[in-house]
Amino acid sequence: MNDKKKLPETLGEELSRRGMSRRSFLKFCTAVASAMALPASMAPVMAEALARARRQSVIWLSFQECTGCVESITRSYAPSIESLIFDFISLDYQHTLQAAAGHQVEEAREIAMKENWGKYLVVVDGSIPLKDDGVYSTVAGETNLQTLKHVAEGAAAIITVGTCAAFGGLPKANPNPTGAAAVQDIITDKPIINVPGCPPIPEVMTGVIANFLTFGDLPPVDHLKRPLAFFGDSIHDRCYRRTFYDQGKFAKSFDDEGARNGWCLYELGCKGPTTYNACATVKWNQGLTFPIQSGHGCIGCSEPDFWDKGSFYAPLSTGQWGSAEGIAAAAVAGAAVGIGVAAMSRAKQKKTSEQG
Amino acid sequence: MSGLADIGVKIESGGFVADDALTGMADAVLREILQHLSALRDHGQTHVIDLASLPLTTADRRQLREALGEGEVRITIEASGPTDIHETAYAGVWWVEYQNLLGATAIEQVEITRVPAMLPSHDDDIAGAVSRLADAMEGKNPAD
Repeated sequence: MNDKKKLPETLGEELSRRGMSRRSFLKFCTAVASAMALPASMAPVMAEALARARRQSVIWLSFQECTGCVESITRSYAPSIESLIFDFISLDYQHTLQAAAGHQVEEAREIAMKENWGKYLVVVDGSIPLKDDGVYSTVAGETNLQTLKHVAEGAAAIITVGTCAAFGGLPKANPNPTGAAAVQDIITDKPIINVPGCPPIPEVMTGVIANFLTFGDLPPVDHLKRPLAFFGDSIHDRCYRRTFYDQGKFAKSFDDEGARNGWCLYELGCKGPTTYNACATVKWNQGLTFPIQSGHGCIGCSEPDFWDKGSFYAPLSTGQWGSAEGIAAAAVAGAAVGIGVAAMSRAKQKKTSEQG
Repeated sequence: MSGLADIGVKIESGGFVADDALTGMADAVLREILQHLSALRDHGQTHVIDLASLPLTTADRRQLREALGEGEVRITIEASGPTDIHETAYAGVWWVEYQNLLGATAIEQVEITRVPAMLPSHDDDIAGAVSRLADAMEGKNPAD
């Protein structure tokens, strides 16, 4: 997007071009290391490695999606150090952001693929329709299915952004009229990392890319291929309202005494206990707040099929979690246990990261 | 006056604040600091404790901060938002508070070291400074 001749080769050069000090950069790496539960002393090492990282070619494929994920990632920051990573990658193909159009763009994609065969990252947002040979979503005469298979062939790794690309998301919601599928249902021979959420947290995306540039690899993942550093704890584990849950203090409606006192939203349908994401720790809008802090329960948007799991306002099934009264009784002495669990899963994350 | 001022505000007191209980974690962190401080004395080994990685309540954090106290050095760095650093009452133990551009505390760390990592000027920045200073002395506009 800048003058082609003067594109800096390394991230360090990009830093000096922007007049950005190494202290700013170290601060960014400290934030990433902290969010990813890497040992804090890793930050300076990461800063040195990242500064030497070369420009990474990225091909971004948008399929059945609403562009909310791109909005989340591109609009969440004031011009800041996080946007640096996003500017530094060579975004060779992206429908919403690229200036070119038509055949030019498709050509640019082919050129980028040839020049970086085996090395480029593919980012996918949106699900892929499989029904009726995938006719329900096409770009430049190609079905999404054809495009994905073609582009994935030369990819080093694939990052899915948003619940649609990771698990099928809203297009896959019952009755799934287009036969929408996730990337991992189609591509099975490439490393895939899922960054779900509707939309996903921008810092998670930055963290995964920073990790790839630093270590040349994707970070450790859970059984749903989500980065453990961000998806290792449930929202409930890390929720600041957890104390009230442990004390059995629940809001019964959105305007009662309990709601005003900031009590637990479990009985109002909060899906925090079954949802794994970093909202309670990384938060949104530069760490300002997250849904529960704003008084609404978690809707579980980073979990597969969240749209089809019943009302957002119905409490999680009693079969699974027992009645609120039962939990309250069991949890009277549970505050310490809750803290212990949080500490344990954090320790688990650390261990996994160190192995990676 | 109409508008926001008309909306009644009910101030409640005496309620239990979710994050205001002491858990004993501060004592555990102090022990950890002591161990690393000894390692700094004996082997010059540095260490960083990321407080966000520990299940500290607000009260725990306050207790830890008070236990460590304040020493001779207090520094503010302006780089993508302020970073406040102070040496605690114990030499070699630094409290580092990174704030984001909105001024909210993003990360709090305890660094056990002679000089916190954020302080020294980086070689690349120094190299850039050499050419900038030279340009400035020749009267060149840095934007050129």
